[in-house]
Amino acid sequence: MKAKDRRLAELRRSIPEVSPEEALAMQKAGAALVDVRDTDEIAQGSPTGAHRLGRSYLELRVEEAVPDMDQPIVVMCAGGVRSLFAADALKNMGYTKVHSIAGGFSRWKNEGRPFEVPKMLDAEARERYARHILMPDVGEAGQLKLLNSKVLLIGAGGLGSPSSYYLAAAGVGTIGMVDHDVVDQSNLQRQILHREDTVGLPKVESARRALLALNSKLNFVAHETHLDSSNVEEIFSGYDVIVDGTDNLATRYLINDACVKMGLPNVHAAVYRFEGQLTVFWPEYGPQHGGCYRCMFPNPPPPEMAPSCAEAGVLGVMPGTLGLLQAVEVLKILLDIGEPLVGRMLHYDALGARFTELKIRTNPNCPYCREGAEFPGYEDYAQVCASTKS
Amino acid sequence: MTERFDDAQLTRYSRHFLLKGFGESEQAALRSARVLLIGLGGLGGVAALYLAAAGVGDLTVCDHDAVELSNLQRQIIYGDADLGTAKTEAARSRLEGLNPDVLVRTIDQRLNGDRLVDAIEHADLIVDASDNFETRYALNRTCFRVGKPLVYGAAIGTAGQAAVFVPGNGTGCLQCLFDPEQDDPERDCHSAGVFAPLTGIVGSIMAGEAIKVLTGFGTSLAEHLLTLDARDMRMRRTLRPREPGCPICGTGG
Repeated sequence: MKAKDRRLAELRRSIPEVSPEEALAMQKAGAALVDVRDTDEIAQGSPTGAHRLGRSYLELRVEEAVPDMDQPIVVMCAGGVRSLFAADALKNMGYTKVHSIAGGFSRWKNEGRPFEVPKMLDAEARERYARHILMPDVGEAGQLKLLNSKVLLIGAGGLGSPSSYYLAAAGVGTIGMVDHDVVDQSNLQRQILHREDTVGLPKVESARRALLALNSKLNFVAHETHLDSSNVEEIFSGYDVIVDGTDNLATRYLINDACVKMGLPNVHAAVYRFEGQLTVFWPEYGPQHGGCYRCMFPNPPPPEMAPSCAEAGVLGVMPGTLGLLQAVEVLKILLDIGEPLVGRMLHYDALGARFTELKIRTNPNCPYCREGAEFPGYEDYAQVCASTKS
Repeated sequence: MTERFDDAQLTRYSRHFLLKGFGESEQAALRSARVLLIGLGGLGGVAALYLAAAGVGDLTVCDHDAVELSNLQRQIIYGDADLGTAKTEAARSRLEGLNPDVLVRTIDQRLNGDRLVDAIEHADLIVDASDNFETRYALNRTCFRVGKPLVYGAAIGTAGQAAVFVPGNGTGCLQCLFDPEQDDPERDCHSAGVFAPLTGIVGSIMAGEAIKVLTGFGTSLAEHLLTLDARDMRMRRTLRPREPGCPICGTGG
């Protein structure tokens, strides 16, 4: 008897084997189905809802997919042999309920169990995103995540110009933009999405042209409208991240409230003359409990305290830098890498070329984001002027 | 002074004119400025866009590459239709489309020797957006010899940095920061990758620094090195080291 056969016989005694039918029932009851086949095998099809971890990095990646050691796991390979070895490795890591699917994917498929052909990068995408795929933090899996992501930007102005440009370049699959303005000559000093020959067009149309020219595979969704309480949830739904590049305080409250209610990360930036600020409001994120915009500013200022309605000056490149920083935060959130700017506010003083970081104080009694809060409802504030036009 | 800008220009740059300390003379300084920008990749492309948008009058862009598919992950100045076109030509049409007031000149070859000296002498400020140390050191050396300010930036992986070197101000040069003997020529974007928006952040900061140097507005990074890590979004501004015995900037520049 060869060593591998002896070992397999041992494994069959220690690892319970289940049929595809039983595995499917277990998956429906909450078990994790882990597909340990190679990328080229998975490309041909893989059970719906499976964690496609492969074998080579299995031990390194499994905890992210299955954090609970007591969650039942069913392991699949092509024919039911490699899955026994993989199941043993998972047992050794401390997983307590590990099973192997007898007959593997070929039997699963023959019996007509549900599977899908996962999206993989084609040769063109591999070339286009080569500089990302080289990065351990992104890789092919990360790039696929970006291609399947949906990001909504509010405002196609100074902030939205660079952030949408870079998100489209980086390969975010779907980009939505909300704006109801038209391109004006005075925008061109900083809003690099637009150009001389799109002056007078709706900004979302000008944006669509620029972004599709950069990346014709992009799915661009134009929302040429003004956000209010009646349309905010319908517009936001389906997006993974919201990017606040608005120049309008009333809209900023609306974005905050909808993001808190819908559990969406809100990547916020604002620019005033030579200064800018950036943070991520995302109360649901991890241990930070970073709070929301209303923790800092519970209500808009009364009209007599509000900043003047006159348009403020801005150094052309300022919103560019801030908008790019927003794009970085969006990509980090989508890729789940690094540490998002939750609970911290980055302040950028362009004149001194200085960045400082401030801690954001969370209001434990915030009626919007405190734990267990019942949503207080939307407020359609009358236009509150804030001279943060970017 | 008003007659120096026509109505369209007054509108175009209105957000500059609203800034305290940034008036028509600062805008005029930009208009009469000649900037030489070396390298039209991730850093140079975005720097060029913001310099053109801000109204720099005479912009010379230098690169000898053509647009490749793998550039488009971060080089937003180009698009799918530019694949295979010389970067300088693609950039020229994009920049003129953004601001027809800008005179865009192109140099479609690697500059060295006398041609590099000529190009630097012709410019008021040099933006180093190149992707290799050989070019960086040559630019640094020549800028200090000719006496022209140099805006430097670099990005790799998730890390970036930027600085401004001004000959004669005693705050050192690029070579005080790095030792040419110890650089790892293998470590570049081709092997290490680069996070798409990072190049844009550094490029936009470089454009901002160039505008400050050209207009005398604000405080530039003339004594400091700005370093940032996009992974955790940490930024630091540190006083630059200077080498009193530096062969390029002499006793500390």
